[in-house]
Amino acid sequence: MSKMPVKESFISYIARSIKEGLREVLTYNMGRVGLAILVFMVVMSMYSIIVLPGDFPAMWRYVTEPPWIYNPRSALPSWVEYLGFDVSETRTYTAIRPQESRVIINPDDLFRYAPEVERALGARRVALIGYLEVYRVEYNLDSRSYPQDIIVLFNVKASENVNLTNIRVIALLYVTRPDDVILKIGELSVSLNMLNYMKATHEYFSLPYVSYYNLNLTLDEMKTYFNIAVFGKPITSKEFESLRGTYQITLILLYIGIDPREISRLIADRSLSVSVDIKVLGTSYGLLGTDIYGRDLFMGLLFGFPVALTIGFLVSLAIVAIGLTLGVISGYFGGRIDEIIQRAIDIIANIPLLPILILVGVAIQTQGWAGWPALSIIMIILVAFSWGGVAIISRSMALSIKSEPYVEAAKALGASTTRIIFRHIIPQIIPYAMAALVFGVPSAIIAEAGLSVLGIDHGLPTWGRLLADAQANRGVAYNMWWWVLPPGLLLGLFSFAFVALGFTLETIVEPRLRRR
Amino acid sequence: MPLDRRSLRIIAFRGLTLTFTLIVVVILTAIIVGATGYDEVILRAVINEQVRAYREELSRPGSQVSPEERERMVREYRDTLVRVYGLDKPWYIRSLSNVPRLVTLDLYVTQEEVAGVLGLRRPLKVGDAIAVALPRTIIMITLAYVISAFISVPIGPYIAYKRGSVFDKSVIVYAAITNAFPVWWIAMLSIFIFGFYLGLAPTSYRPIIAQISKLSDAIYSLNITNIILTFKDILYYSYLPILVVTFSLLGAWLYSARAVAIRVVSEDYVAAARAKGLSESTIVRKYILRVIAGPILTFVILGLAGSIGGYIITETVFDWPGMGLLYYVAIYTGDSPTILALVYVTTLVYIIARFILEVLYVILDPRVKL
Repeated sequence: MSKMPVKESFISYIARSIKEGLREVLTYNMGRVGLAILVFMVVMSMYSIIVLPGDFPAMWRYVTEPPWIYNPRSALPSWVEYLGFDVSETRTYTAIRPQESRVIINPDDLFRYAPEVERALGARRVALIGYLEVYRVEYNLDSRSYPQDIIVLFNVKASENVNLTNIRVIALLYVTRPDDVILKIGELSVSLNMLNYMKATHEYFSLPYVSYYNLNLTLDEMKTYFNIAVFGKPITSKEFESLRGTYQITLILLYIGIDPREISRLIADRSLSVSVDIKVLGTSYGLLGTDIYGRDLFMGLLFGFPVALTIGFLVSLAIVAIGLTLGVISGYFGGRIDEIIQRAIDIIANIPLLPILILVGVAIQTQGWAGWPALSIIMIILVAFSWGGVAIISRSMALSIKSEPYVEAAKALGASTTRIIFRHIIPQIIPYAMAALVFGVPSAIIAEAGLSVLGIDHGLPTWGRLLADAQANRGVAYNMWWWVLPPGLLLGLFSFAFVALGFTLETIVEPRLRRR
Repeated sequence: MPLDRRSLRIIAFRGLTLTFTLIVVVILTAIIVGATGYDEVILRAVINEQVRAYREELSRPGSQVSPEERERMVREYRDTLVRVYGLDKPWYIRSLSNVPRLVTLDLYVTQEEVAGVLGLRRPLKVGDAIAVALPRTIIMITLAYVISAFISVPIGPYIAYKRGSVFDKSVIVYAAITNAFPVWWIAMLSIFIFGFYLGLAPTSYRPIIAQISKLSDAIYSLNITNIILTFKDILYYSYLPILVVTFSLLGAWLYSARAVAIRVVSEDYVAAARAKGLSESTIVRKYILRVIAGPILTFVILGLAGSIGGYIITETVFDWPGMGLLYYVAIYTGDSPTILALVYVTTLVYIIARFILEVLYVILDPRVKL
């Protein structure tokens, strides 16, 4: 690291030494690895900020609300299929177009265009005149594991002059299995303004299915093994295996209540649009699977990137700034102020930090604080008890630099104290401070993760929080490696980047460690 | 070695500042426990729960107590509890009045859950609670420290000596990795792999309580076969925690031992010894190990002293009933006497260790000045 020329400003000196340091870091393998991971972390953080909604922490908290309830639970990452895992895929058919859409005046037409509707059962329940839409999607099951559920999501948009409460919709959901058994798995009859979502249930299992297979299942068993009944075939009267092949899922919407031709017109001129998503929930989902609540773990992990970087850098920066300032003051001025700072360092070095953090964490929790305020308090405590190490190093360096001849000379020339500190002392400590800064970044996020695992909930879905959820549900979570592994690996990768950079910086600033 | 007056003055001064540090640490902890008011919130909840149970007890069908009488009894019961938990006094009296009694550990565990986590029941003196928890932490954490020290102290200088070799580089990477992954995550992972997937280790570690008391029974009755048998059981329950902590510690220890040795390795007299044609093992033993013995000793003694506080998170993950878990449950249930006693004992041990080191420095190195 070069000496600071007399004519250069303090700031530009720091900027230049960072630039030079960076160039030097890149000549070391460990430095390159560390920097690469750091760049990855920054990119992911930016991606996270762009992609995730602003209220993501709240969204993550409410496990019984959308979008999580529309996801499969405890689903593996979908790429495990290529590793030979036997999983059924989760498929979302977004905004599908109806295959049939027509005005039904003659009741027979209903059975013609929607043959799934059985005459015997359907005729009694369904009002047979209305506007018909039939949606069909195909799902291919090629796995021993049963898909968990079938869900239909509706998105109704209408211009203001359409009165949605007047229009009723009858929605019927069927699945046609590879063995040509047709099962009715859902029925809904609501006015159009209430139409939002529909879930497959066992209630509509028709008798033919049960008698077809001669099943001795009670209604409760049907309910428990609903997805097995839909996607499986019996081997014995109670044992099932999955039925492979192509399933056709049929959604029939019948708009009634007003003149079907009027509805046809509304839909044609886009005053009314109903968009339909059909989701088949398999046992694999997305990039990193889901937890037991169906929360997308990739999103949770994504949120952790900016949080880890922010917390890490803020805490470390504060620690180094305070430590450097107090250390230089202590070393340069000496005397009573030095004594006070030294005793303070002694005390904070002996206070058990983790217990204090837990204590404060529990206190925050009992006061009902959550989110960033809670996290900031934890960060402040962390800073307040961690600046000692940097202060000790800065002090000893300040002490030795103070008695250098050129400092004496500067003093003799009438240089002010500020000038000596900022011109001669701090620039020489900066490289060491940088190493300390880099080493210190992971400590905050690891402390936060540890507190989370202990059950202290600050309400933000950090990597530690994900691990804490896994730990809290350890009975199940220990069978879900995709829940336990990725948060810890990211935590480790994050720290490793800074440890590697720290090692490199240390080698650079400490010439004695350099290889000859 | 005779100590002159000046050295004695130095030692006495160090002793005084360390004692001052201890007192301030304990008082600060007491203030943090009390001033945040969190123990009060928790204690109030506990009292409400107990009063509710008492009221239910009194109003069970068939009880002879009239409603007015019952209300009076419930009120009295609540007042007693408030007095017992010290909630009738302001926090600084409640919390700070415990501090002088810490010297003799003359305090009682206030929460049943804290005693329960150790496999004990109240009334329980905090000193006894710590006496029960400490051996368990020593089995797991201190032992891991000792193992790490035994491995890294002899190997560290060799690594420094062979700087730049593949072995040296892999040690650095290993150190970086263990530094990066928190030990409690390695603990979670190993329970997950060795316990749940491979079935090679227990998934629950609570039975260690019974095993240790069996061992102490066997030792008292000098029953050799029982000692060996229970020792085997203890090993079954403890090998994974010990391995995990050792695995995690070893990286830092190797790196530190190497770092200390590297400064010595590049000294001229080592080069001279090498030029003389001395064997590598002689150089390491006589010229390197002997010089770095001081810093290494500091490292080992402070490490061992620090280890008795236990690893709060790792012990919680393993559900290992040692000092760390005791700490955790005490904090969680707002048991301030136990928290203070733990802070006091662990800081005391650490400070005694530092004092011993200071004395050694003064005795061994005449240059040490105030």
